[in-house]
Amino acid sequence: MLEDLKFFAMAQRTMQWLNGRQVAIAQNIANANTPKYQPKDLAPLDFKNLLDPPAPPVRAVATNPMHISPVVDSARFETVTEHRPEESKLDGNAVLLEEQTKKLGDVKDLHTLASTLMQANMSLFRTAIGNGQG
Amino acid sequence: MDDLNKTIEIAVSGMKAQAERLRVVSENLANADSLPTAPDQQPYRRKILTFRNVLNESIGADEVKVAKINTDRSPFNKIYQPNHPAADASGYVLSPNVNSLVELMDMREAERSYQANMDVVSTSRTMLTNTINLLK
Repeated sequence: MLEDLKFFAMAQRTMQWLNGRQVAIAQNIANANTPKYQPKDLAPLDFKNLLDPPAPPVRAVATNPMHISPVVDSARFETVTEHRPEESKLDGNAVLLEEQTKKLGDVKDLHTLASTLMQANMSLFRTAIGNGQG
Repeated sequence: MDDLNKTIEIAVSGMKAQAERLRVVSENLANADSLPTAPDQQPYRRKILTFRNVLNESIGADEVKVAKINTDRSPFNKIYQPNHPAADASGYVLSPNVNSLVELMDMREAERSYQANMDVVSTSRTMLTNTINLLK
């Protein structure tokens, strides 16, 4: 219901993107000492993408309860592998812990922002609805 | 929510790998003076571990694993100590190829990487809490 409102849809999509980005960052940090590992990141979330997300992939419709219904997959975002040979260490690993930590902080801040905005809007709704006493 | 739990799993795999690295470092440091007892024996040989990224199918992301614990094939050091039971004809004893400076460096790096993984866990937990707080 709430997703029908553009604001909530955007906040939700931002949070999904942040979750996905957090996974990418976690992989980079975990592999900070793995030889030949190249860091990855999600493609930036632009306004157009935020406003109307690309259509979900086409899949068969389950018309009968016996059909195996597909697992609901979360929103997909494009993953980019960064190639920066000039930043690589001797073992071919190109993860910079400082950079990843900075991204981690960004993700955290944006997530707090998105969830606080969502909460604030929710409280507006509550005010509008009132506490049921007219 | 699911993504954030994945994140924690990935970071934990990194922490495990770094802990194992620290274990190898401590093994090397503890045995830095393990000399042989007879002239034909060899002293302790330094161990090295390498990491590799493994795709965890259930979460669809790259985790870290310790690939292999190898031995350092660099030559042993020699110390002149003619009265040692393991001394050869010219009075030299082979000593482990462990350099404590290198080991300390490795230890510091492991500590930093562990800390970074820990930060990922705490950030993910904050994000999870934020999401749960939306229910209030």
